[in-house]
Amino acid sequence: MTDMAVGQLLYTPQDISNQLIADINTSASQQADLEEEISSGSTVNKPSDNPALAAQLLKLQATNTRAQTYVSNANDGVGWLQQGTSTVNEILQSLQTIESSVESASGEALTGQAAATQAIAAQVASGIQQLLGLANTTYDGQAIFAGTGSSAYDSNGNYIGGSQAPTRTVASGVTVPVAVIGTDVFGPDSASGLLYGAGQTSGTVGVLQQIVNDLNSGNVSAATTTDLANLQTAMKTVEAASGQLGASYQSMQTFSSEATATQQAIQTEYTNAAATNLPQAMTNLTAAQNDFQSALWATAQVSHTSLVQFLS
Amino acid sequence: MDVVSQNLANASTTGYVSESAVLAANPAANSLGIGDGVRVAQVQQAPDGLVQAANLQAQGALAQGTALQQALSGVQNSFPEPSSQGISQQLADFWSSWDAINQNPSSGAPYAQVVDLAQALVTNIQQASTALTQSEQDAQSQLTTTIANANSLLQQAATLNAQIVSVGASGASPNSLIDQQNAVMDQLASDIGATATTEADGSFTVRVGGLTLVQGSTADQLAIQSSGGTTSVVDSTSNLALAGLSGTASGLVSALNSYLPQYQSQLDSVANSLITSVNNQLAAGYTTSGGPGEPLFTGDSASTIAVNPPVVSNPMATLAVSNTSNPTDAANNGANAQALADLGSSPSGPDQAYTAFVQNLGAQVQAVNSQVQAQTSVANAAQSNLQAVAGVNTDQQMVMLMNYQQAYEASAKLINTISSAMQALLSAV
Repeated sequence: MTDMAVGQLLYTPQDISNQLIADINTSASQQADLEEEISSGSTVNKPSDNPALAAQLLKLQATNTRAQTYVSNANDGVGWLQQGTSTVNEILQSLQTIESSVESASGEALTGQAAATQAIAAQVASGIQQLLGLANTTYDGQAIFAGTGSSAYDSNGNYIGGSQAPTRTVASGVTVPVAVIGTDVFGPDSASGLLYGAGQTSGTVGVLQQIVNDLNSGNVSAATTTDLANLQTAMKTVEAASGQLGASYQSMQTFSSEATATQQAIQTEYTNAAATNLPQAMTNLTAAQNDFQSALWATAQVSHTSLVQFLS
Repeated sequence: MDVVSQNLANASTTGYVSESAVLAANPAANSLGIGDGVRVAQVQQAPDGLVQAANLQAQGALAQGTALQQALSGVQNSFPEPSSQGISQQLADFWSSWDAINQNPSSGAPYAQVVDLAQALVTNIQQASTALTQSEQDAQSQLTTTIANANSLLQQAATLNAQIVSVGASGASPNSLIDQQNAVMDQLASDIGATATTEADGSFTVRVGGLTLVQGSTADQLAIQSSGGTTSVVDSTSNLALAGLSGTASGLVSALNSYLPQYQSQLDSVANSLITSVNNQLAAGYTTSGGPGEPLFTGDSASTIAVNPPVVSNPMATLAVSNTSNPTDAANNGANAQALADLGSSPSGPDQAYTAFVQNLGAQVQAVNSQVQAQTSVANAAQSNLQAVAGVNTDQQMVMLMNYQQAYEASAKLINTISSAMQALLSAV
């Protein structure tokens, strides 16, 4: 009779309580994890939640930041090229005005109107000043025709800028120029250049100043033939630069919208990778809450169900 | 009934092993061979050798996992990733700030931004490094406390052994001392993963792995040895290392010897990669006035990384953002800054090293978490088995109480009957 305990496995209240407490802890920690997931909106809140996904998210996060920079670079490039294109178009208009003035000089010369040709010379000279102003146009405080230098032209029409065009990174490994340098628009610092020797009445000067000098010295035929032909050649260079800038502007706009689309795609990918599946998390939470309540209920019963209660 | 009362009172006592009274019939003293009643021959403890050993081992393994889990979770909390405040995002922002310089190399604001972000990054890396060092110190001091506790428990075990032997020799029951010894063993198991075997004289022999720590009334003492960055627990009496160390001490030792130094070195290589890649790229460029620049970072590890003071005081004149020394081309040149911005995407750059570090840390914490989960189940099962054998089942005790009560009532009834018979006989005489 007294040997009934020996060798026999029995459940003791202590044992049952331990088991129930373990169950309660498990349900409670499940609940805590799910609640964190729901409240943060992300399935990965600690690297240990899902190490591989956490690493992927870090990469996506870095790529996303980089993509935002590409968008900003491309938008900055669009600004530069827009400014460049419209400035070069203004330059072309000025040159066309000068061209037609010079053409009209041949008519004036026939009638022997020296004062009229001098007036045309003055007009061209002021055109040179206007062009110098346009050549030093800035965007965001930087001279757009100065390359990577600080300013483009001095008052004598000498190019003082850099020899490289500034560039922007608009996608991984894609670097594109956002401007053309001054000499690509106005020609070299020599007789074939447009602005060279601005304001100088003698010596080797550029195309426009040569027109002024020839008109002032009465050499109208030179001005209206050789000089005019030189001007038209130089204008071809400006037109080419205009075409180049226009094309760059178009492609930069494409880069900008591509960069924006890429950045949004990465953003979406990040959100999708990390986002909590709310309906699933809510269902799991409800299940975990039910488990928890059941475990609590069972625990509450432990002290009730003992033979002690039935003996009096 | 005394035994039942003892069992019920100790139902929740740690280390208590359920007892039962072994009753024996008194030998016959008369020629008819009728026995002379009953006596309590012995108060027996429920047998438990194997389950108790299994339980000690499971508790040791659980304590080991838990200690490691605590140490690693602490480290993980110092790296709040993925988030918008972590080192990863700061690195990304830092790289992007170089593109802002390229957008306007002659304006001061983007330079100041680069320096600000570099300083924030350096602060965060240094804090992470400090947090790792702090974790190491915490683990070290916890180990010291654990070993000190284990030493006092070993001493207690030896003292209890002496008492068990002397009480046993005097013929009295040493059961309550054995219960105390069991409680001591529970703690020793979770502290250092000790196991015990019971000797013929009732004393416990305490071992860790194959090394005997307590035999009879003598206890060895433990000490912590650190040499060459490796921490170990040794038996300072015999000067032997505890090869089979388990429990909290073992968890802390592995955190100290392998996990924490590994994290520190990974973080160091992140910092080092950042310092070298940025400084090398800067060394390849020129300032906007065409001169050589200054390195942005100084130091060579996570704890020594800093922003070079001359750069802090004048970033525009010291950062080599241009790709040419020709002053006319360098004045508004951000090509080298552009190259710096691209370093963030480099497959061998600090970003990759850091991501790999976070993934490694996460995977190890996850592994330890599931290990602890498994060990908890094992330990719970072992505890259940032990309880089933050694625990006090109140229902069973109540049944036994009723049995004893009925036996008592029956004996009383017998006495009553004999008494009536005697009275009847006496009145008849």
